[in-house]
Amino acid sequence: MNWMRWLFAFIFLPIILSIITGDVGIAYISLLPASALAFAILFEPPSGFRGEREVEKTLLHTGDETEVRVKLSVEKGSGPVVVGDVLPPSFELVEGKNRHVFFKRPGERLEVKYRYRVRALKRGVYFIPPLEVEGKHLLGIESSRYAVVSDGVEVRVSPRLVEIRKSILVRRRGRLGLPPAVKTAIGFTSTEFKEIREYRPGDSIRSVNWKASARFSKLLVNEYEREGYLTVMFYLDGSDSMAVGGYQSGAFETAIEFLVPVIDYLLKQGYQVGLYVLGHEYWIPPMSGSSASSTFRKLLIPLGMTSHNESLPLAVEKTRYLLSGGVIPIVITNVNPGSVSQLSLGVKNLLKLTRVRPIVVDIDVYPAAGSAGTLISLRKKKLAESIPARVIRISRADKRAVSRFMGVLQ
Amino acid sequence: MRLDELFSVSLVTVATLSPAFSLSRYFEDFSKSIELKIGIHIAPIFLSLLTMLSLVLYLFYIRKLRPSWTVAVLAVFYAVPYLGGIPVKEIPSITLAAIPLGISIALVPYVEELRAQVHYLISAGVRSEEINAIVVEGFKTIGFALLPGVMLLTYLLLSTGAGSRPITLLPTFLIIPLALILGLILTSIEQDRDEAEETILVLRAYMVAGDTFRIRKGTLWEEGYELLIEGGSPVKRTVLISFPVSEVPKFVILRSPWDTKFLSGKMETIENGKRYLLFLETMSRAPSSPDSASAPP
Repeated sequence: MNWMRWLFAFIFLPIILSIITGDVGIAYISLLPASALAFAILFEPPSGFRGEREVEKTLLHTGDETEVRVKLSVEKGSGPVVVGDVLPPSFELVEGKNRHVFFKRPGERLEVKYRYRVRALKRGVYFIPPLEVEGKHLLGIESSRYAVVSDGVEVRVSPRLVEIRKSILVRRRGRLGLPPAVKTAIGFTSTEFKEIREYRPGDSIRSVNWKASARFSKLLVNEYEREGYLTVMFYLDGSDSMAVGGYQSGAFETAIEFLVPVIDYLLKQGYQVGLYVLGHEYWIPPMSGSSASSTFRKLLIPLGMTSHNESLPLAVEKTRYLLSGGVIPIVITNVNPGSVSQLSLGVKNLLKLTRVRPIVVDIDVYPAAGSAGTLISLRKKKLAESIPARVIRISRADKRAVSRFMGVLQ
Repeated sequence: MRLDELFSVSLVTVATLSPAFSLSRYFEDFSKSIELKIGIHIAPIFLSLLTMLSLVLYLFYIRKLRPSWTVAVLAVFYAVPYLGGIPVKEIPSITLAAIPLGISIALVPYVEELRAQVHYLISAGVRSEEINAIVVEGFKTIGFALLPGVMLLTYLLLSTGAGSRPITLLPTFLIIPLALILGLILTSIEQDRDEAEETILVLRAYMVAGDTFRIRKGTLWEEGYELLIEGGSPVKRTVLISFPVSEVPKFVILRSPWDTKFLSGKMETIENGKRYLLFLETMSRAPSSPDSASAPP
């Protein structure tokens, strides 16, 4: 219902009636709606918004809480003022509210302060957009005033790292696969010359030894010693097949929370680590050193799933030049009937290229789903038997997943 | 104005012309007839209150009528006993009963507006204490707005013998045009002051998008453009994006890998030297749109 029309009708009808009947007194009743209308016209909706927002901590770990403090002032007008933040879906309100309504009285400046606490539930790089403010006209006869005030805030949420006990670190130091003293065949090159060999697809053009190539009439390249030691190459499935389980605790989240501490640990131990994300076609060539950890985090923390399905054999083919000389290939996926054939084929290719038996980390979110979940888990176990690789099943509830994985790596 | 609104307002206006004592007389007659039949005396005022209350309960709570219709029916009920037999010319004047009835009628649309706002605020998760405070403040302000009118009306009714000896000194009819002219002048002054130096485009949509999306510019058309929001895990969420623009588009298509929304301008406000253009999603789609159910696959 339009109140403006109602008021106008209520003003004019008594006047018309008074004219018809000749009784001027009837027109007096128009004073009531006229009074309200005059007020409505004189006072505009609340406007002149100024706001400040402060987020206590912008670097968080999953499960951490942070406080958001908001200060708002409204200069002009009269009526309700609705103010609020659009929080990313991975934040949970633990105290207070992110949406408020205040009343701006005519002729008085409105100044309010409020605060609320949120908990980060999932890793990622989130953007909290600017504060939305809407001033509504008291009688609804004018359109609302809307503005976005303050700046957006970026909040980075890292997965909470699983503490690998010192005893495990000490016990397993230097026993991971091949001895760490063995130089690796891939990764960043050093300045230490190793040999001249034939050109292979993927070799840099800068490494071509033109003199030698001219002498032997074939393309030859200089080979240098690589930095670091053993290489662990991860293939992380980022496709829709990982979209099982809850949004904040599904297979993909479990995989990321597993992968980040494992990569950190391997880099600290001096190994080279590479990563290929299936579906996204993102990849990081094998790197070593603890500083490489930030490169992996930069990719993994905001990483989401994609609807583009990329098969493991294709990913292996794209990265085949990285897979020679003592590389341990590790595939992280959700083993299911739809993907098992391609997974097996990819694993076979990895075995052929690396001559190292690959490890498949099967993310299992079903144990949490009761008896039906157990049946699916049994089915996954059966499927895994057909894969020519060592298969480790990891679930979210498994607090010792990282340690168990390290045991298998030995 | 809709016909139902016109009808109810007309009835209400006619109803206010009815002398209050006549209504009391009607219930007095009713009370006497009850006493004659069953021998129990029921006060006329109690009968009238009971009847009004029963009517409100029936119309508002059982038939779920809107407040405006409930008030309109009550007004008809108030007027019915007299509409049949009293010629309009013989009605002496409006009565004091017109004041509360007039106030309640003036408030009905505001109450409806308030109900809609409260519903919106509850769904937005605002605390009930804040909503209650808004309702109280709103009624106080409306009361303040109506107060000059009530005071003037009461004075006029008292000084003119409830309108039977109307005074011609006060130009009642001029109040409205004067108020409108004043309002227009004030509005034009306000508009002159509002000059924007920068235009901010605000896009708001509820859609399936990545939780940690990044924005990428997509296709540009003559009158609008497409924004791609990529990255993150899919989740149904509110997307709010704001950025300055040099030219105002007519539409914006917001596209994530899982959903597409067509946004068009819904609101324009100038605040602190900035023009804010709020674009919200629109339901209209071309028949050939892939999102349309009638579109061929």
